[in-house]
Amino acid sequence: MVVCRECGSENNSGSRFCSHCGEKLMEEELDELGSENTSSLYNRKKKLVYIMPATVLIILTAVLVLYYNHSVQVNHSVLKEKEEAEKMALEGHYNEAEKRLAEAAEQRPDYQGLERSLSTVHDVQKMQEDLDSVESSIEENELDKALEQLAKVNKEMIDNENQLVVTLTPKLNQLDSRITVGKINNEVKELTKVDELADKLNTLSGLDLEEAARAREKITEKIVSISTKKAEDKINEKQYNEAIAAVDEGLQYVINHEKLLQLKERVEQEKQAFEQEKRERMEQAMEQQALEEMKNRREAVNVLDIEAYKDEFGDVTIDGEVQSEATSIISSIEVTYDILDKDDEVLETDTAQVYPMYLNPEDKGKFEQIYYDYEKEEDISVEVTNVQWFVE
Amino acid sequence: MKRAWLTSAILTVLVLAVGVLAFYFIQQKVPSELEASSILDKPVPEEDEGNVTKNTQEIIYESQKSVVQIELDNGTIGSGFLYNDQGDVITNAHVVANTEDVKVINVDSKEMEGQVIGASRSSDVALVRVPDLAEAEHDYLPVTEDEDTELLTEVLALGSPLGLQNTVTRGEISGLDRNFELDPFTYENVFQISAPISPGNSGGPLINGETGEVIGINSAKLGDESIGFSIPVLDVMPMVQQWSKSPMKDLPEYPELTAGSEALNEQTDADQATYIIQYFYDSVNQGDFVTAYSLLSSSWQEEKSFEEFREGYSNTLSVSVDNIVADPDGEEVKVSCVITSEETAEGEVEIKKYNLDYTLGYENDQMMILSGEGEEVD
Repeated sequence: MVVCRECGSENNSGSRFCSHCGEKLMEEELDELGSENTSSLYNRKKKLVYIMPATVLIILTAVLVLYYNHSVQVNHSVLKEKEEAEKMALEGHYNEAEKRLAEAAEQRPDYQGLERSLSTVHDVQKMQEDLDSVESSIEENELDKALEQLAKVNKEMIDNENQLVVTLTPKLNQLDSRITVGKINNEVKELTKVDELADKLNTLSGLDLEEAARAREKITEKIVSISTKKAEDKINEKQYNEAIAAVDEGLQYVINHEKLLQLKERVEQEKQAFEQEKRERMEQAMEQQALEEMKNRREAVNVLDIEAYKDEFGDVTIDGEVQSEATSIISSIEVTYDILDKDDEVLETDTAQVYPMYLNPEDKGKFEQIYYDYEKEEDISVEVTNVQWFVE
Repeated sequence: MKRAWLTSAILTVLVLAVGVLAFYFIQQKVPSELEASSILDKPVPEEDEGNVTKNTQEIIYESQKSVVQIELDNGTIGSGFLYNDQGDVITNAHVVANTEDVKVINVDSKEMEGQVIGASRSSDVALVRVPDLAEAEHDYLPVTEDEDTELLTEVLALGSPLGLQNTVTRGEISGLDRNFELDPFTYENVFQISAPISPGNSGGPLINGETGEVIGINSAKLGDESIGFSIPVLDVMPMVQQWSKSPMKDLPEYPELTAGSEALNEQTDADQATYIIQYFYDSVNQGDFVTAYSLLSSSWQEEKSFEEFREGYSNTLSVSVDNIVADPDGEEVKVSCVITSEETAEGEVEIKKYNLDYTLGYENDQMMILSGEGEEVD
C-alpha cells in the first residue's frame, strides 16, 4: 500500500501516480511509509532537514536588515555630526569642531569629506595659533615682528583660501588694525607737527577699534596742546595773526574744542589790546611832538639875564644870557631889545646875535653889544622885546 | 534521507555565504553613500563687484546735477559739489575764505543760501551746507574709495570757469604726488591734470571718466600755464566728514587772502628791513620823530618812551645813511649800517660816524625794528 502524500488515499503499491489525485508517488514514501503512523513521523523528519537553512536564512536576513539599518543610521549620524561640526567650525569654534570631526572619523575612517574637513580645520587651527602669536607680539609691542608674522599668515590664508579660512579674516583685519594703531601710538610720541598728527588721524578714521578711539583721543589732545603752545609763543612774539592761524589749524581737526575756541578769543582780545595800546602810544607821541614843536617855536628861549652898564669911557655895554628850553637844537638866536633912557623913552631898538650859533637843549648862550653914543645919558636900561630863533 | 541532509547543509552554507557577502556589501556600500564633499574647504564664491562702466555722456549728465557754482558778495566765483544727503557741498577754502554765508547756484540756475560749516587752514578745502539741497533729496556725487589713482586715468573736470556754468573739460591725470605751497595752504600729493581749468573751476569735482566717482577737488592754478591741480579727495574726507558731523562754531581766518595783502609780500624781508632803516633815518633827519618812533617794536616802545627817544636826538642836526647791509636770520633780519651824523656840542658842530646793528622782525604782521645798538667809529 502506498499512501498518497497529497490526498492520503491509498494506492496500490507499485503505482507511480495516485489514482485519486494524480500526484506522483515517491519511492521513499513507498519504501519507508507503510502505515499512517509512520507517514507523519516521516513528514516531521523531512521538515527537520530543511529547518536549518531556513533558520539561518531568517536570522541572517534579520541580522542583515539590522546591520543595514545600523549602517545607514551611522551614516546619518556621521553626516549630522559633520554638518554640525562644520557649522561650528564656520562659527569659529575650531577646537570643538575638530573633536567632533575626529569622533565622526572614528566611525567612518574612510570618509574623505570628513577627512578634508578635519584637515581644513587643522590648517585653520594652525593659522589661528599663528595669529595668536601675532597678538602676543602686539601685546609685547614688537610691532615689526608682528607685522612680519601677520604678512606670513596672510599669505598662507590667501594661498589656501576657502570657506573656513575666511572666517579668520575678521581676526586678521583686527590684528592688522591693532598693529596700525600701535605703530601710530609709537610714532605719535615723536611727532610735533599738527599736520603730521592729522595724517595719523586720517589713517585712524577708517579703523573701528577701541584702541583706535583711544589713539584718536590722544592725538587730538596732542594737537590741542601743540596748537596752544604755538599760539602762546606767537602771542609772546606779538604775532597775533599767526597765533590765530595756529589755533585755527588745531580747530580744523579738533572741531569746536572749547579751550581752543577760548584761546582764539583771547588772542583776538590781546591783538585788539595791543593795537589799542600802540595807537594810544602813537597818539601820545604825536601830541607830545606837537606840544614840543609849539614850544620850540614859541617858547624855546628863556632870557635869563640882560643888563646895560657904562664903563669908565662912557661906552654902554648890553649883555645877557639866554638858555634853550627847546627839546631840539635851536640856532641863530636873535634877541631884540629896546634901550631906554631914564624916562623910559626908547632910545634905540636893536638886535643882538647870541653865540654860539647852535644851542642844544638846556645849553646857555650869550650876547653882547657895545654902544658908543650914549655918553650923555645918565641912566640907561634895556628891555627885551623879541627873541627869534630857528629850530633845527 | 542522507541526500536530504546534504541538500540542507549545502543550502545553509549557501545562505550563509550570501549573507556574508551581503554583509560585506552593506559594509562597503553604505559608508560610500556618504558624499565626499566638505563645506569647509570649498572656495569662497567670488564677489561680483558689479563695476559697470557708464558712458561718458551719462556720467556728465548725472554729475552736473550735483555740481554747483559758489558766489561771494565780493564777486569771487568758484565751484563745488554735493557729496552727501545733508546738502553738504565740498569746495576750496580759498573760494570761501573769510566768509560765512555764500550764494550757491545749481545747474538749473536756482539760487540758494549756503553756510560755510568747515574750512581748513592747511589744505585748501572747505565745506558749505546748503539746506535747500538737503531737503530736495538731491543726487550727490559718489566719492571714490580707491586709494590708488594711476597716471593717465581719464578724468572730467566740472565747474564754472570764469562764471560759465556747467563747463566740462576732459583730460587725464598727468602727474601724481605733486607738492607745493601757496600761502597759507599746503598742497600735498596732489594730482596734476591735463584738463585745463581756470579760477572758477576751483572747488569743482574731478571725476573718474570711467566710474563717475569723484577722485579730486580741482584747485589752484600755478602761474599762467594751463596746468590744473586737483586735491585727492580721499586725503581730506575724514576731515570733511568731521565737519559734516559737527559744524565748526568758529571758522578759521585767512588774513593772507584779504585783498591788498599780496602786494606787500612781494618784497623780500631783507629789502623791507633795508627800507625801514632808511625810512627811520630819513624821518629822524626831517625831525619827524613820531614816524621814526612808530617804526620801533612795541616792546622797545614800552621800554623807551617817546620823550626819551627824542632826547637821544636832541643834539643831532642831521643824519645820513652811508652804507646799509641786510642779512636774513631765521624769521628776523639783521641790518648793519654806518651813519654820519652832524651833532652840536658846546655850540660847535661835530661830524661823527656810527656803526649800528639793528634787528628787525615781524610784530602783528608788520616788520618792526626790534632792537638796535651802535658805537661811534673813531
